[in-house]
Amino acid sequence: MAAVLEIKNVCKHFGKKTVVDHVSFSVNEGEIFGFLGPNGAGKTTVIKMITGLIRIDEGEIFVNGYNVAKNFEKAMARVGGIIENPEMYGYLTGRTNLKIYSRMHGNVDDARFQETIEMVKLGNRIDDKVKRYSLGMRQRLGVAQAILHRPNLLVLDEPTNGLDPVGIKELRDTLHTLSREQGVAVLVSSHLLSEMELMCDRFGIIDNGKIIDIKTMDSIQLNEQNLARYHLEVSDIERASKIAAELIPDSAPSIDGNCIDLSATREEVANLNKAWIENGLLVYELSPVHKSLEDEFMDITHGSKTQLR
Amino acid sequence: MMKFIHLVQNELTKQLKKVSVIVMIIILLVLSAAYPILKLIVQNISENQFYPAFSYYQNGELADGETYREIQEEMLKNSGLTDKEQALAQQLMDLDVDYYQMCQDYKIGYPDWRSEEMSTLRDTHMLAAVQKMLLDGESVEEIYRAVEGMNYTYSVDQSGTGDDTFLQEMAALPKEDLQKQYDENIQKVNEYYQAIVQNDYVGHLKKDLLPAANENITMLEEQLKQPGLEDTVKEQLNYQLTLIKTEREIIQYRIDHEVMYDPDDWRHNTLLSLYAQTANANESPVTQEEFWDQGYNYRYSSYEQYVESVEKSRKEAEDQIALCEYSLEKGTPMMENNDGTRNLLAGGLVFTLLVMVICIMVGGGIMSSEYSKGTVRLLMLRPVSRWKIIMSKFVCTLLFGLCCMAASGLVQAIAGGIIYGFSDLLTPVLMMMGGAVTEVPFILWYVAAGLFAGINVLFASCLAIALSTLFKNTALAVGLTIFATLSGSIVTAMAMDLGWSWIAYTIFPFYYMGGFVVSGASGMFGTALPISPIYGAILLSALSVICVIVTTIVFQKRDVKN
Repeated sequence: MAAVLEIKNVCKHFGKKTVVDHVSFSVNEGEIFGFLGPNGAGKTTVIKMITGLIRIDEGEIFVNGYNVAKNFEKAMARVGGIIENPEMYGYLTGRTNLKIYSRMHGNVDDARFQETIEMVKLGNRIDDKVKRYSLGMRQRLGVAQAILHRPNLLVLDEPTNGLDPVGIKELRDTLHTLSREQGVAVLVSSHLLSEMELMCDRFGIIDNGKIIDIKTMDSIQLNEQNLARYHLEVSDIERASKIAAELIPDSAPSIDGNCIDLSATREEVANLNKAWIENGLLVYELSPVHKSLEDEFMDITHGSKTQLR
Repeated sequence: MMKFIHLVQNELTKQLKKVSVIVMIIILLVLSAAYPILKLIVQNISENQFYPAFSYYQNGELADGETYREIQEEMLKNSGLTDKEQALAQQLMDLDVDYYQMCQDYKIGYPDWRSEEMSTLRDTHMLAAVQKMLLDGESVEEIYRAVEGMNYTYSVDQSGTGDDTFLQEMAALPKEDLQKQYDENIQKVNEYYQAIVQNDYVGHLKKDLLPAANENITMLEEQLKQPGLEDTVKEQLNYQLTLIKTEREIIQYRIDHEVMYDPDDWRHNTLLSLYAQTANANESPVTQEEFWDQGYNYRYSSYEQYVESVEKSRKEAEDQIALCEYSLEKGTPMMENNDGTRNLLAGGLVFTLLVMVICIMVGGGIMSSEYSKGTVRLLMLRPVSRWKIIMSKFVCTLLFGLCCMAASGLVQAIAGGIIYGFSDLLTPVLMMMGGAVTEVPFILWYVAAGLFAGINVLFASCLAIALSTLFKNTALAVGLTIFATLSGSIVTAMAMDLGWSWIAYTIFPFYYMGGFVVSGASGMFGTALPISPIYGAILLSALSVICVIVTTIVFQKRDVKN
């Protein structure tokens, strides 16, 4: 797996403030890399440095082996991106907007142009003025301009902002298709963690300009196999809790009405369920409380002054 | 290179689809097409307007003969003259009122040869009346008081001293001589009156003006022959002689070529210009004492500067004379003397100011709007170096301005050609080049003049884009650029009032380079300022280049934070 994007010890200062502090990571071919962090952590600044919008004070960024600071045009040749909201020229049609961007690349023929429009399902609305588009359509046009020139690196800054659930799913599917089928490397930043969970293969967490941790999705899911918290609802809570205490002594239960939350392994919960039923109790609900990315994130950034929204 | 052309194409697409830009282009083209028609309408209105040779306006309305008489009578009553003196003044007043009435009866107004001859007629008649009074034995003192009491001094006294010297001189003449002068004047009055009433210009030229000019020339030549003349007097006489000789040539030319007094005839205009320029070319600077005494120092910073400017306008006048003579000789009308398509197009260079405003509008928003709308982010993550992006914006705006100018010129040429005829476009332009009159094809001249005038568009565009990029604020960029360009006439005029001649070295006097092409530096601001259009062209071009360089450097280095 070749690294499409390599970020090496990058720093950025705005005045005396260090906004990005020795950030290093890389994104490989066919991989979706999530870039997580609270607002103001430095995600957008890193992304702007990758795309040349902001100069790099220290360190180097390579895209397809080309140094962004020294060989900008070659480095950017196969990069597509959406930074913050994909703002277009509202008084122009979607087609004209795309035409403008395609002229700046030089490798977009008519067939590819048409193919892209179909891929993002803009259909006949492509000839309407962009100011009459819904937010979802604008986002799709934004995706279109990002993938028009067949990039092998997509850089998306908060792409799900303001999208409805359908739009988010569409975006997710598109990204999966691109990375799985065409081997595109994707860098997605977000502060909406639940989305990242479904999208990313790997993610880096940034806070106060520093990369705190880089994890793979698999390692988190593995954790879930071991100890997790479960949420259960039964008919007779008193008897149920007594049985649970006997079966799983250190489960740290918390009871609320007919519900009980406890920590256990998969095996223990299954046995508990069996014991309850054999004792004539009715079990209404049994579900794992996700030890999810969000929890990981909260754990990792615990003690950080910044609050997650 | 191909990529850069695509970038320019992109910028043009963005600009040309903006409603504001489209509206401005439509206004430009509609005005360009309407300009010849508007000019024609304005001309017709002013031609149909009657401006009598003698006019007195009361409450904004032209007084008729009856009203004028009442006013004069009122004045006579309040003049404080004795009855005797009043009776004398009454005679002069009657003449004044009669001739006032005559202008209205015969519709004698500007521009018309008769209007020029009316004052000669009236003044000669009044002088004759005064001479008659002297012959009748009235006292010099009483006549003078009568003349002065009604403000007729300058009509009657052609020497213009303002006191009673002329009366004393006439009274001192032998009676026969005075009688002879009186008879001559009365005859002149009759001749002029007949010529005016019959509107017989050629006859008037042949019978009256030509002999008069000849007579004057002989008289002046004789005066010059007198021994022991002071240098200043000699200079004055020579000046008059040159003017009268030119006048005689002009009269002769009019008679030979049947050139009427007709502003629609280019030869007539050329002759008028020839006479005016002869006067300019022979004017010599006043002495240093006169310079201080007569208030010239308010307009010029030093005597040397004044002398220099007189010298300069003398040279310009000499060039003009050469051009006029060549024009009459070859039968090639000069642009400014011929009311045709060429003249119309030359005046139409003023449309560069409108193009400039459009370019300021386009350039002032070209970068700042990308920032304010946020489109700058999607623009700059392309595999295109930043200097190419900013250069494409400069090239786009300038190309756009050039196209606007070309389109406006073409529309004017077509509309003007339909009204004034296309053939005038084939007449060459006469210019002084290396001391000789040269014929330049009009099309060539027009393109060169357009490009020269276009320097304003260049500068305004570059400044607007620079400010738009530096401040990321459209309103500020547009406002400052408008101030730096269009306020030029106001700022220059104010600086001239304050005596700040250094204003000539700033950008302000050069707000409309087309004006220098059409009317020259002196036509724009007079001769008081040492203004050089070539200097202005270099200044504006250099500033434009600086704008481009600074903008490119700043844009190259700046982070896109929003």
